[in-house]
Amino acid sequence: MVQGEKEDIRIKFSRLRNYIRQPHIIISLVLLLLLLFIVLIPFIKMVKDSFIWHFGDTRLSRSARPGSFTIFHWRRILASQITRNVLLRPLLNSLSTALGVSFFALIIGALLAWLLTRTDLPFRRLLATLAVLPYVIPSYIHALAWLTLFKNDRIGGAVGIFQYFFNLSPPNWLSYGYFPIVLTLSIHYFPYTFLLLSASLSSIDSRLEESGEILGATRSYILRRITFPLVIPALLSSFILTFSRALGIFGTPYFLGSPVRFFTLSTQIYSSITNRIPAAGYILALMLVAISSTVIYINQRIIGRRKGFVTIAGKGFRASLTPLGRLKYPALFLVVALLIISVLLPLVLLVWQTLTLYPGDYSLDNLSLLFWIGRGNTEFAEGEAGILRNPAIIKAAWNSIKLALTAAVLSGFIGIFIGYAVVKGRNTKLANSVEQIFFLPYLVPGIAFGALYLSLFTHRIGPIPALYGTFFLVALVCIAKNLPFTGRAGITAMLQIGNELEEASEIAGARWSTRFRRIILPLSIRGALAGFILVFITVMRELSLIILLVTPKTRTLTTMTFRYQEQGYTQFSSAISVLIVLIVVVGELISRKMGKKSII
Amino acid sequence: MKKIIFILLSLCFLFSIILIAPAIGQKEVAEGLSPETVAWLKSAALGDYASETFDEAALYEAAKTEGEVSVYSYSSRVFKFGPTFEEKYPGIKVKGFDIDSPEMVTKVLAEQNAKNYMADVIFIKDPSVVVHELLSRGLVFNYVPPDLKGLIQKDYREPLLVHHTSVDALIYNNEKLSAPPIDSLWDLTKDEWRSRFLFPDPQKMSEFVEVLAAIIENSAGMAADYKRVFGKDIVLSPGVENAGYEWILRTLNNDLVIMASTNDVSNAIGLSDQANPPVGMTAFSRLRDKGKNPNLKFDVMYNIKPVIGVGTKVVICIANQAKHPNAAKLMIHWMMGDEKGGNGYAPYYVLGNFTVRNDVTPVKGSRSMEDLNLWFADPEFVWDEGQKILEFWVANLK
Amino acid sequence: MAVVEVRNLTKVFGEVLAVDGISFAVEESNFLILLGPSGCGKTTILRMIAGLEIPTSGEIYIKDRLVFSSKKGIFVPARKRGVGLVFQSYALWPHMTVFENIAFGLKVKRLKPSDIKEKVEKVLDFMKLEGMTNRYPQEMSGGQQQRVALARMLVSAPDIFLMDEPLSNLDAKLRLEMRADIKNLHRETGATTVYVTHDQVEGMTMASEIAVLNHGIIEQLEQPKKVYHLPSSLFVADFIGSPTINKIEGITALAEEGEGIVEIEFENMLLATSYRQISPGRKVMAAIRPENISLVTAPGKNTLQVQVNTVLPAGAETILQVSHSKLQFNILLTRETDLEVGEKINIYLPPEKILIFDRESAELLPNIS
Ligand SMILES: Nc1ncnc2c1ncn2[C@@H]1O[C@H](COP(=O)(O)OP(=O)(O)O)[C@@H](O)[C@H]1O
Ligand SMILES: [Mg+2]
Repeated sequence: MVQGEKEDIRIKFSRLRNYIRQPHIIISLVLLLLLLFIVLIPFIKMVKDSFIWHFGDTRLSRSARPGSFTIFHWRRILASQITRNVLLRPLLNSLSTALGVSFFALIIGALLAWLLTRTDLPFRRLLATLAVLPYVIPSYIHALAWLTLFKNDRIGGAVGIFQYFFNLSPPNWLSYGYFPIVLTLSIHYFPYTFLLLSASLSSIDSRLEESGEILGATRSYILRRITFPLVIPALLSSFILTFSRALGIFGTPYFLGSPVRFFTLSTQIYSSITNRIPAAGYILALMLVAISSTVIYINQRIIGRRKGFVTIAGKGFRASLTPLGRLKYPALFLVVALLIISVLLPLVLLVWQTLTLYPGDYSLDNLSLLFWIGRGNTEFAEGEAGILRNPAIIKAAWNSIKLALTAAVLSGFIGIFIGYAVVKGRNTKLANSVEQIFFLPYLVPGIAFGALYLSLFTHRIGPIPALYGTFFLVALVCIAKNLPFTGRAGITAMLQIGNELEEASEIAGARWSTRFRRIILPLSIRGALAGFILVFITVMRELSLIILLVTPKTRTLTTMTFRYQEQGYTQFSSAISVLIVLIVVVGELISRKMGKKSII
Repeated sequence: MKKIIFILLSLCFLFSIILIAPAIGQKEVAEGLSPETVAWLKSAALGDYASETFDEAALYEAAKTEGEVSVYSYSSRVFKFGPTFEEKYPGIKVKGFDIDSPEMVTKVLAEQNAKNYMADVIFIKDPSVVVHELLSRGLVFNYVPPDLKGLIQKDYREPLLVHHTSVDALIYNNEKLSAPPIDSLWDLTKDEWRSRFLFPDPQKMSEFVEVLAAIIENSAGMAADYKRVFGKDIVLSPGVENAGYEWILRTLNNDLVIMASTNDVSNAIGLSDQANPPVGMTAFSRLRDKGKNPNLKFDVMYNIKPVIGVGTKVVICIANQAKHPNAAKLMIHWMMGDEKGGNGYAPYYVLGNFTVRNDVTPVKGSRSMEDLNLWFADPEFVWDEGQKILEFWVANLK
Repeated sequence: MAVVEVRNLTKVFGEVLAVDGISFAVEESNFLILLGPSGCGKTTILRMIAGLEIPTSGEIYIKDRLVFSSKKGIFVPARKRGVGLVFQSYALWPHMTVFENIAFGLKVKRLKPSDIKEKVEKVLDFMKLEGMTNRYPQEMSGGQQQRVALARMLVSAPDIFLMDEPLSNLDAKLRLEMRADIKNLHRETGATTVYVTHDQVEGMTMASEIAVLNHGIIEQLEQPKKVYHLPSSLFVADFIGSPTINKIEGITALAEEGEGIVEIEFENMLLATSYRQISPGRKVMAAIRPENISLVTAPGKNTLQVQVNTVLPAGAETILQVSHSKLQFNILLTRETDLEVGEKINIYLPPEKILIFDRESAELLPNIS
């Protein structure tokens, strides 16, 4: 009897061993463990850290004992004289900007998607290519360009171009705060909706619509009753994606909001942490995570669990094109105007600004290349050399490129593993949970994600030394945040390869490492490249995510821009922004050369 | 099977919580000087073991064997006095880092906590925090070059060596206006200055918490000046403690414009050709920008009552367990300059910065600090009240 | 000695019972064909033998070595089982040349480069692929890719050849050619082979044994001839043979003349069979292969008058579809004909060619004659 039981356990154990010994199971488990470390533990640590005293807190309260438990910070944020201005109003502002941005981005993107996939608008292909560009440009560049254009004399000094030429001071609401923040971010984010919706629209079989037409329905009726319901998942997805991104954005509200005391949770997190009251920052970051999870939860309830997120995939059917008739050229004009406003104008403005010797003077005799190639030791900007000669900026440029490449390569690599685990274990619970859990980092707003890492890695954890201030930490946060992209790319690549190519090599006697090296990797690398390039671009223009983690040694171009802008050296900040755009565009061109369309 | 995996996962999960738990419970820094610190102080000849004489040659020799010195500096001017130091003392490499003061504190705390000692010289604003969070915990140590002791009065040597005093003052556009448009801080609460008073964000720049603290500490002076201006005693708003706070409240309610940097303030006020230029508070040393940009036209309003501005201290010290203590001492000595100002001090020998050496003549065009009507931020008061003031500020932002 | 033996092999995918406790053994040098409609579990069985799929329960022996046992918790991974597998999709590695594809397995086994070259060249020769060594799979025709896939399997000289519908992606002519080639290959190498197909003609022509599968169960496992002539169940009878077997629903009756001959009653007609000793009144299904029906001029015993509905001439053969009230028959004539649609003809169903199945169990009734 006892013998039999023992036997039983042994067999169960060896069954488990057989199960676990499958490479994709091992990889899934390792990936889940990794996720534990890059998302879950930082999260738990942040919750814990919001309940303890930190060093700087002795300034707040004499009874502060660094390292011991307290609910002081929660009380301070939730119920004190500063609650209204540190939590409630920023919360409202964050919500209303994120909602506004998602709403307008959705409308612009959806309209554009429809015009460029479903109508007979001229130059559709070219326009569709250009329509993605606003996303490639760092979001705060739109904010800086806005200031260049509409800065009024509230914050005095160099006025914007508008006032320079028309001698008319734009009202505050136009220059700063909610309106320009929503507008510039909508311009930055509409490509999301555009891409998701174009994909969805062009995968709708136009016969569905035509059959409606044959039954005598009008175009608008078809649009409302047939087309719209079919693209609802794509619409909701892009709404969520935009919402959670806009929620965590830092640069734009910082530049455009501060002059009129328009604060958001992200700017408050930043000032709490720079003011060395990290617990307050963590609590606000938790609020951000809570909001974005709630919205996602609601979304999932609406469109069901499995179809939660639409991704861009699939070849389209031939769609029948709606003739625009008399509206054709007005529509074309609108689209072109949108693209000029969202891409060309900001860049031209920035470039122009980098060439002005004295800020705010847009006359021709004020043009100079000083901020690009000046030798320094002049009277300008504390005598710093032009950005192409400035060692600190060149170092930051290398940091940026190094960071973007590291993050792209490593997260691309992990993405391949995610793809492998998910595709190999298709339809098993384990694989599904890997697929879903790896979407999590996407949903944690950027600056909150940075805060998570800040809280975990400023101290040593067991054998891991304090990583704060190291390049590795900055890279780690970029890798983690971008896994959803590369995971997607990895899954797509792996689906295209199929199982049998690997199995054939297993039959041929190859162990897993050989199979991976000789078969899986060479075959998936091209597909994974799309994710790789996307990550490169994203990290090159990343600010919100890394602003809390970057130290002088690990400064990147984006944080340098931020620093110069903050100190009032607008020409430098603009010049660096232009440099970033140049690097990103070169990256994009290389990707085109490699023949892969980038995905977002 | 899947259940087992879930159990495994939750085990990992528990394990990791246990792993991070010690990090939370641990006491972050031990009180009192540790034996290692004492040993280091002995070998570095600092603190109680400091020598009484300054032997530059010997220090240079010792520093050369150390080979380098890293300077955490609150300002980018480290890239000016660094290279001149290297010229003067060949063989010692200067690694300069331009880090904002609060970030520097975070960084030093993190380094000390991780026993990863990177910093040698700490050159920083916000002395209250440095004294209470770093010095009192033995994470930084004061070093006054012995040859300078006689040249610097005691409160600039203790508890920390002050490098210079920096003054923040009110400025106006002297192209549009022939004379300062106001003569009291209280004028800024009047309707005619609504949305036209620029003030750097104290949430970003701790220096301006010090400015506000000085105004509050001298609330009696503020109250007296109120009476002078309005001819009656001040009536405090409900819940407001004193005339200093009242002034903050009223300027905020008068739509004080919060600025991102002192540079922004001086550019905003000083730009020529403005119809209705505002006034504002900025670093006195911004006066030097006028020389660089002919379009800038502004000056300090020297006759404001009760004060034209506030003086704050910039301090300098050596980090605990610094790996290059001799080079650090040499660097501090270099940064303090000489009786003519000196190459090391040169970047700070400008309008608006005031040396602590009593043997140095003021910068050309500058009045001596004693002649200026100023209050001085008291690090002890800032330490006690600073965050309260900041919270008051934040709470009353409309 | 059985080279492959499976016992009670079962595989469940979530809710789907893909393979339901099957057992069989393949003797040395035999060519077993797993035949069945798509989705019946053929591929799954093959993959379990290869070690690419972990069975839910059961045992697998390869050359008397236990490679899988759910009871004992044994699972030998594919690369240690010494099997070769040709995939339906060929699964040639697109980033490797023909040479590299074939040499892969040898390189993995760390053979000397000179040996590898020699071996690869030999199989290339054998598979008539000379001169293609440096091509990539995408640059070859389907037939050539098929040969490369076979060559890749051959080169490692595995103990068993497993092939999963290797010809299904080829056009009819090539399929015929390759069928012969594979048969030759088997004859020359004498390798034990398990071959999966849903094409019954392939099964009939190549196998030394056929296992007909249905819903994860083996319905019949015998030599092709037997499976054809004596299908053990209605399913097998139906599945094998083209055009499909003709079926007549009826009830057994005792013959009036000739002792014990079972007759089948349907639509008030009687059909004599060669069966004896089946109790009368049993619900049965009579079946007869299309080629066993002949045309006769005069009506008589076991003769029906039918109307021609369709004439499908196919060169030397002709398929007729005829009907008698509700009954439909396929008839395969091995000659040309000038019959016209609508014509009335007489057909004869020879009693000895009629099979009788039980309608409930769908099993063939034993014919003790
Ligand atoms: N990986 C799998 N996951 C779930 N179901 C599967 C899987 N593989 C096969 N099946 C199911 O098992 C049954 C048998 O499949 P298969 O062996 O491929 O059939 P065949 O090769 O005979 O066409 C089918 O119903 C199929 O849907
Ligand atoms: Mg199959």
